[in-house]
Amino acid sequence: MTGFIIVINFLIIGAVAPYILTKPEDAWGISYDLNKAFLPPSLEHPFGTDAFGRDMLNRVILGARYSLIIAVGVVSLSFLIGVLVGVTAGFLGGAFGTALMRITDMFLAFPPLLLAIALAATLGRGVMTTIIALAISWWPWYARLLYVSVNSVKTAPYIEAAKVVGVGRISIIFRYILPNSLVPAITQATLDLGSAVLEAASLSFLGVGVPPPIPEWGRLISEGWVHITKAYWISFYPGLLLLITVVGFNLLGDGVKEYMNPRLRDLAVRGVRRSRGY
Amino acid sequence: MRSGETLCIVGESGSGKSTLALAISMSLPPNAVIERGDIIYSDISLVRSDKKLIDKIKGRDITMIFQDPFATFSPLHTIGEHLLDIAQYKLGIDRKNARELVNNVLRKVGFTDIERVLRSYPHEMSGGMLQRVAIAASLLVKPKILVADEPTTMLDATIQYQIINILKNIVDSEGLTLILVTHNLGIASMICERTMVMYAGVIVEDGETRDIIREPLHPYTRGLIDSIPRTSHYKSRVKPIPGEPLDPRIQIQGCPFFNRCPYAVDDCLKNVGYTIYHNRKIYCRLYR
Amino acid sequence: MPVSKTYIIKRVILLILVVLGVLVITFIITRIIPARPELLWAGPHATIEQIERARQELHLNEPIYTQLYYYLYDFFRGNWGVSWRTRQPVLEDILTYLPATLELAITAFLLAFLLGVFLGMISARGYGRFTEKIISLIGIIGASMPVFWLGLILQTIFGIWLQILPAGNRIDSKLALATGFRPITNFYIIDSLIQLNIPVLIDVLKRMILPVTVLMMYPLGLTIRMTRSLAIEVLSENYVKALETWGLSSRIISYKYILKNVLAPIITSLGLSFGYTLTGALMVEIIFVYPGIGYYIGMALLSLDYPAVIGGVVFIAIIYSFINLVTDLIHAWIDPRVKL
Repeated sequence: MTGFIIVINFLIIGAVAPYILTKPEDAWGISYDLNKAFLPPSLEHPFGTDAFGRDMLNRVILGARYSLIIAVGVVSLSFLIGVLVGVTAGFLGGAFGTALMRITDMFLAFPPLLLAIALAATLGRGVMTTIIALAISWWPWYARLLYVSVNSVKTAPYIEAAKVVGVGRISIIFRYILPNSLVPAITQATLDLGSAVLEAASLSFLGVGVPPPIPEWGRLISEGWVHITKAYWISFYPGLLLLITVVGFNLLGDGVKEYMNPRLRDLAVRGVRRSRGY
Repeated sequence: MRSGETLCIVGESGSGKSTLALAISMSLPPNAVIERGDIIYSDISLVRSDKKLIDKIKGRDITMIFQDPFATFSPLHTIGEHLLDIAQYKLGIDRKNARELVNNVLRKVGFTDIERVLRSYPHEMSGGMLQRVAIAASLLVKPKILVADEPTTMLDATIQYQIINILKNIVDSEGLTLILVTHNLGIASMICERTMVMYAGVIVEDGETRDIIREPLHPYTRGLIDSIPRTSHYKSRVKPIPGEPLDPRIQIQGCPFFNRCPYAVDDCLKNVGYTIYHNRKIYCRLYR
Repeated sequence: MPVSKTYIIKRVILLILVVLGVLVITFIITRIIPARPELLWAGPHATIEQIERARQELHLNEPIYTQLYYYLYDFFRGNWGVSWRTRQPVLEDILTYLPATLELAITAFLLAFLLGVFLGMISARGYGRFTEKIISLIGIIGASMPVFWLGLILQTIFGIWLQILPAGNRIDSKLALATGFRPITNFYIIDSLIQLNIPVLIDVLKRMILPVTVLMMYPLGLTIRMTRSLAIEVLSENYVKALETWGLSSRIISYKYILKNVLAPIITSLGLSFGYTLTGALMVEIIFVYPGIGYYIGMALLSLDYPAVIGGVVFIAIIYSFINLVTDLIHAWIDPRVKL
């Protein structure tokens, strides 16, 4: 539940960010006023100001939007590629499918993020390149998930039953196999949004994500790194919000998983019973 | 129950027979709540007593075997590990003596190649073999009461016969009290002196198996017996019980069979109560 | 349970194939994707001659399969390019920095694993809503934690403001010199133990406290969550009920049967967990100025030292694949159902 609230907040803020900024010039990094640099958090600047006198709250709010854009972009793109590869491999099966999966496995030989780092270093900084780099390192997960999914659905008894009754092959594919195989992948994708935000921030922190002056949260943290002893708020607040957002996604994910798994649900019910003092 | 008695709890899916069996062997899941009623063993209430008392009985005087033989064993441990651990722990003896005991019980349930059995993992064995091992494990416990929850439902018909026979022999030779849960009246008639028929969580009839099958009194039992397809009669139609069971979430007063019973009247919705009729306990206003 | 030799051989061959695959992928990344690979390779301050030389070295004038051939050839010969920042061959650099990262990563990972399994099992047993909630909270926060942020915060609080723990570096070089410490294996913990150099040992360990704490947060959270959900599932399995009804004490059941059934699936994901640890080490090392591979790659990224970045990435990928192989073998050893 809490996760849901957090995530909804994140999505809303991200979506409307450009319209609620009180100091848009600050957020976009266009203006600067060195007289106002390094102001600690106050009523006027709840998150303080950074080295260029820009209001941090504004920057963080705009940063939410960029994180949202990148996360959605990454997940959608990698999902698409993953679906293509995984479903094809699952359908056609046989040697072709196995070969496709072997190639997928080679991508999976890179620890998460590392491939993205290499790609980002090659492609340079930018929102689009960050999305592409992360998507390329992520699609294998979906491909594998879908391959297993399609395989298990393909051999399920209800597919046999449909064939026996006479449902046409195309019909079977689109009305039974596809929807049933896609469901676990889609749930995974929605949960992955949180991880995508985190990874994008990591890339930006390392300097290979988004370029300045885009106020992506990872970037903000690295910008504040140098000044951390005298102006901790520059790094602190973006990171705090990053943590809260990702926690929100994870809580949401846990809630969904608990709901779908009857055993875990029993435990939750037990909790309710106890609180009623049975 | 009398000591040494064999009781069958018969009912369809959802009748509550498995839940009752779990309650008797104190194996209900932690989120189960018992609101009314009691199960008394040897003057001890199994429902109200604290954990310490229950642990003295569970696994010592009362033990259980389950429906799915493959789920009854840990897939990562050999049969030998299971049985030796039980024997060793139960009797506090060393591995060697435990080995002898284990060999004994395995022989009692009909295994000959004992070495192989002990070395095998559950997934390497068949359902029938695993159920025999389960029976053997129960024997190690040396219980007074053995509860068997549909032990043959997941097995082939021929294996079912074999297992029931083994159970019968064991019960006779060890003097066990057996509570067997099944949906199969045929099995009930093979092994049980006494039968309890359950429907929608209520015990509707309780008496000697022979009598019940020969002359079913409760309308539900009658419907059950009548619905058994008769292969000896030429061209006879199958007679199912009309209607459907009630939604189990709805609590009702009175008899849960009323919506399918040909003798139902308004009175059936009020508390019906048990009567003793011809040595049988019946839950029906017809016999008041 | 005993793993057949053919299985091991099969997996090793698979590993080699995977490494080849990794190399092909990096080849595509470094040669095919960029428009002018020699620019990337020579570095941002290269002269025209250096760029031209890079073109020759990379055989960019020749067809792709020749390039690929030389790429693989160079790799297996140990020629991974030269870091223009350190002016050393990349492979040498990496091997020098490797032990530091391993010390950090292995320590953090072991701690995370042991603590994570322990806490996960406790929270599944249900010792009270409070413990369950707290442990779940740790799990979720750990698994959502931006490692670099936590590192910065802790470093600032404990290292700079409160000055309780050292803020960075791996060893106090002045102390090392004064006490005559010599790095033999480059694993400073082992080295200081071998030489019975207690002051240096204490110094090294003190400097590891913050980085390890930060580094283990993510795998800890992951392990707690995974153990907890697995343990809950296992606890409701029928064989637990069966063993209880056959009289085994809950202690034996827990430690022998439940634990094994919980650990078996976790083993397979240990590799992934370690992968996250390695990636996390990257950022932790940069923040704490801990001279490991992560620090090397991080510095390379900042200074656009392309060969070093790629070399580091490939090396870590190889370690990662190897670890996955090991965990798969362990899993096959534990779980008799695995088809060999």
